Amino acid sequence: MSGNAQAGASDDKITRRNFVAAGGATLAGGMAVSAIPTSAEASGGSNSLGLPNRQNPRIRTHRTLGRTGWRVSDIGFGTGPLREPTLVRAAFDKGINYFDTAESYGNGAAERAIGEALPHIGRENVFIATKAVLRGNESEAEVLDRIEKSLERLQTDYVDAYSMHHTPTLEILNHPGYHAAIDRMKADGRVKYSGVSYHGPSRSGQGNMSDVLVAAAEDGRFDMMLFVYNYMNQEGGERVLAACKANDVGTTIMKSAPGVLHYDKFDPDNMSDEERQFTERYGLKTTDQLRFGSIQWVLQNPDAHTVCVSLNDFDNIDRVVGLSGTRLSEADEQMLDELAAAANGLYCRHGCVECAGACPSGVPVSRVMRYSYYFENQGREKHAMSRYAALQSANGSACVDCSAPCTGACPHGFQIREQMLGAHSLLTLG
Amino acid sequence: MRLDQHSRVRAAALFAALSMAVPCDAQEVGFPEVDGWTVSSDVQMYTADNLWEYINGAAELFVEYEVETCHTGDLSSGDLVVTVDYYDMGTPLNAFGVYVRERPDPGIELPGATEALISPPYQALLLKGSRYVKVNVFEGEITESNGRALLEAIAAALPGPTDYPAELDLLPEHGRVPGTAGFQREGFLGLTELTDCMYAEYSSDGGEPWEGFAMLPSDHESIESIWERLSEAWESTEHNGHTVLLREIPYRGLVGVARAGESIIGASGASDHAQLIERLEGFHR
Repeated sequence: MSGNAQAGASDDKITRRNFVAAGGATLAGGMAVSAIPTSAEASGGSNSLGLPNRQNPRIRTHRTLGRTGWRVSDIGFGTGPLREPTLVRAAFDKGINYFDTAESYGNGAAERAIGEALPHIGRENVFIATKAVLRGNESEAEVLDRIEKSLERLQTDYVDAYSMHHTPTLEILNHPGYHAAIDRMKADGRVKYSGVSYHGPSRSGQGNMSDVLVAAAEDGRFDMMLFVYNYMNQEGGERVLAACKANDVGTTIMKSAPGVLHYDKFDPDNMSDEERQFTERYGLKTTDQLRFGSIQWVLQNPDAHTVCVSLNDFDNIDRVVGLSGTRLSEADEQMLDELAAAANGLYCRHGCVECAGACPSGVPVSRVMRYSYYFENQGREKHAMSRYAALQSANGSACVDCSAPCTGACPHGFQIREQMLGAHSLLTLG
Repeated sequence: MRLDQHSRVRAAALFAALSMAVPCDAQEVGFPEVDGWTVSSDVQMYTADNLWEYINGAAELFVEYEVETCHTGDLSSGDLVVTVDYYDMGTPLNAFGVYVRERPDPGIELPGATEALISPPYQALLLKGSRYVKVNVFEGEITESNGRALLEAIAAALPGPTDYPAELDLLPEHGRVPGTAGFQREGFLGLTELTDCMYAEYSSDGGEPWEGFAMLPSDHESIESIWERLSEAWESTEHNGHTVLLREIPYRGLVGVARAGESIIGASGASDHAQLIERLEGFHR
């Protein structure tokens, strides 16, 4: 936790309002307001944050996906909620040639939609990466069966990459059934490359994202991987990017736009005074600006070979494809840096679950702090307390008599036990 | 934490509201006891905020349909161990919508349920009221027989009606292909402007099937407002004194909508205006 975020704390309990005040002070006092150009005035690759002005957008940049040798579009299609095959066709016609899917997306519906589109776009023209969540004890035959079912839904006799989906431990990386199945499928030409994906721990006993994926990069058996990298969560992703570069492993990125789907949304109608000052200074008016600027931030890094984005309709495809090959202006990048610093001072790091394996009681630290933020900074007290109550015993009450093995678990210096006790007091009116 | 008088009164009111809103044992309601099966793991609960921690990118679909909770745990009986995910989708319409999106094949009738699907050897799905239930095998195999027995037991343990959502009645039955109805909240036909659409496949005189749909009002948008929004963006034509709004969908031909009383109905995949009008009229009949 930054020193600025600690400023203003007069006792052991640091309130959320103090954090916000400290964050706001950083924004307002860090540099003179008049010296900062608005997004619209800044020079650079886009007219304003995240909203490049291009007619008939097409993919403009391709990158080599590590040792696969494939030249993939810098923007890939994340197919989580995909139902429409025509969206696959539209994305391909705009130049997207990388499609990330999974057996679990729509319970197979996304794979089926891709399969219906393939006859129209040509199988050999696209890189299809699919995956399955494995527990670690599946036999080779069971994994082969899962792969066959994916191929059937995709209506193809091969996939370019098959990955372990959400791989939380080093033990599962060594899954003998998976590797035996992949070896067989590679020999048959039905799987070209092996991959792994992970976004970080969600419960005790699971590994840190960068630890697991750096090990995967160095392992030698994985040709590409999918992981989290965005302006709010840089460090872990950069470790993985460096390891992949050193080992010629392909990199594909998820969650490039934090705060859009999985976390708190930037809500122009529900802002604190500090947030309003910040958005007015940078001309930030819509969630799309922030979302697209977030994607651009990742696109700027050539070691991120393709950034997978959910593309749920034709308009969205056009707008996201329009970001291909663009860079943030200096002012826009500065804005994202400041926003990251401010947001990361509010409650842990936004969306970070790096400490999830450290608590013997399974207290969901990041979630508790998010509820605390809802209470103090958004005034959503009933919502926050209701969410907190639903945690039942897996809440800050577990910290009262605990020896705090979580001490030091946060790589960013967040004092976990202290903050859990404070949040518990707040959210239970204790 | 010390509270002043005002804060204590406010806190008491909040506490009273919460006591009514949150069940005394939320976990039991979310993961019911199933006759003949033993709970063999911890039960985890997820909400829209953190469902991604459990099912990764697959959570996007559930968030689109406003999932409220997912309770998940393992059940065992003999050699069969299954992971059961109970999704409380808040409304029968949302549960129906996500179930149809995830259903790989047409469903079957099942006592005590709205609909079900058994996909041996590894999966079974159940729809009942506002709940969507996914059963995935951990050990053993699901057969038609044991899958049906399990789903019937789960259905019996779940509260609520077994009717399909009432909104299904907006779709005319004439020409509707059985088992094709669904509900999509965002981006129907890949179009940003088509939200909250009940849809089904229709066939006309044995020709190629097409999709008919009805747009639903939402909490923040009335039918009039939806019509106005489409009027501003789509081409307009008149037929027999009625306004038809239309546009081209990439790769699929024309889509058009018309007012039908208090609702907006639509038809897609037409090759020209004449076919579009014919489909709208047939759909409206």
